[in-house]
Amino acid sequence: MNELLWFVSRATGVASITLLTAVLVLGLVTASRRPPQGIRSAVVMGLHRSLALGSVAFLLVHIATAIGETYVSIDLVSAVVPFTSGYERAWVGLGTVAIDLVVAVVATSLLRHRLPERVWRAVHLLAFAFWPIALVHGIALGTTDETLLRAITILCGVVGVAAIGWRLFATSPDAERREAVLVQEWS
Amino acid sequence: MTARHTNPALRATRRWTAGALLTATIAVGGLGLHLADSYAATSSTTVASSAATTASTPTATSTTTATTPTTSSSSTSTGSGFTSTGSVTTSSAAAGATTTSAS
Repeated sequence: MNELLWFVSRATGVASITLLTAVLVLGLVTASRRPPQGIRSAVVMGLHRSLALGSVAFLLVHIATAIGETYVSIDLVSAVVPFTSGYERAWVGLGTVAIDLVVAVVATSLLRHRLPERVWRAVHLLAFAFWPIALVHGIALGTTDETLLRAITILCGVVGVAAIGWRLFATSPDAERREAVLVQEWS
Repeated sequence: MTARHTNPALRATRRWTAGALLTATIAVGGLGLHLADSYAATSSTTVASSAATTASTPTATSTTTATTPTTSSSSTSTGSGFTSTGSVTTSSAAAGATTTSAS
């Protein structure tokens, strides 16, 4: 039973970071300078929201099984309060920080209609903090002796960094049109 | 409202969400099985390695018995797995039995 919990904990951890990477990418696509148009826009936004909630379910299983198994000492307090774990304090602490940030981002998104837009946006930007923290947690802690799990986590990192790069450096179609007009010669 | 009248975007979102979460769940199962398999392989390798180490470890027992301190004595030695001959450096002729191990 203990082994089962340990395996489920590690597997759901990898599934969580994969889903969170997908959520990050979808969010970046939605907020990019080249957002999808028409029905695709609604689908991308809907997927961003529903997968975020789905990834929280996987995260909860990840935390519950990590607390439940007894190979390492991770209790309920160290799953909520960062850097209080008796096992790998720094790396588990990073995972706890990531969870706290995810909870903040999801909670403010669920209460978005009751919050000022600026508050929601400021908290939502924390996603850019929790994602790399969760990634470091995954690489440093959960996948130390498993090539497949480590490969998946690193792949998530590559995809996420590429999406962030695309979001930062992609130009808007308007800007491209303006540049094209500017380079035209007066006739 | 029936499914036919649902917003197409909502329907597509539900389909994609269900597909993604189902894939993730199956992936968790697959990863769990992979981890269990890897764990079992590692455990059996460790046991086999331990057994091989035990089997290849040279062992020897030398028993010397003496009926009286000064008269007769007999000595028997058993050994297995030696690649070179070792010698028992300590021997006792005292009364009783002395067991000396060499490797």
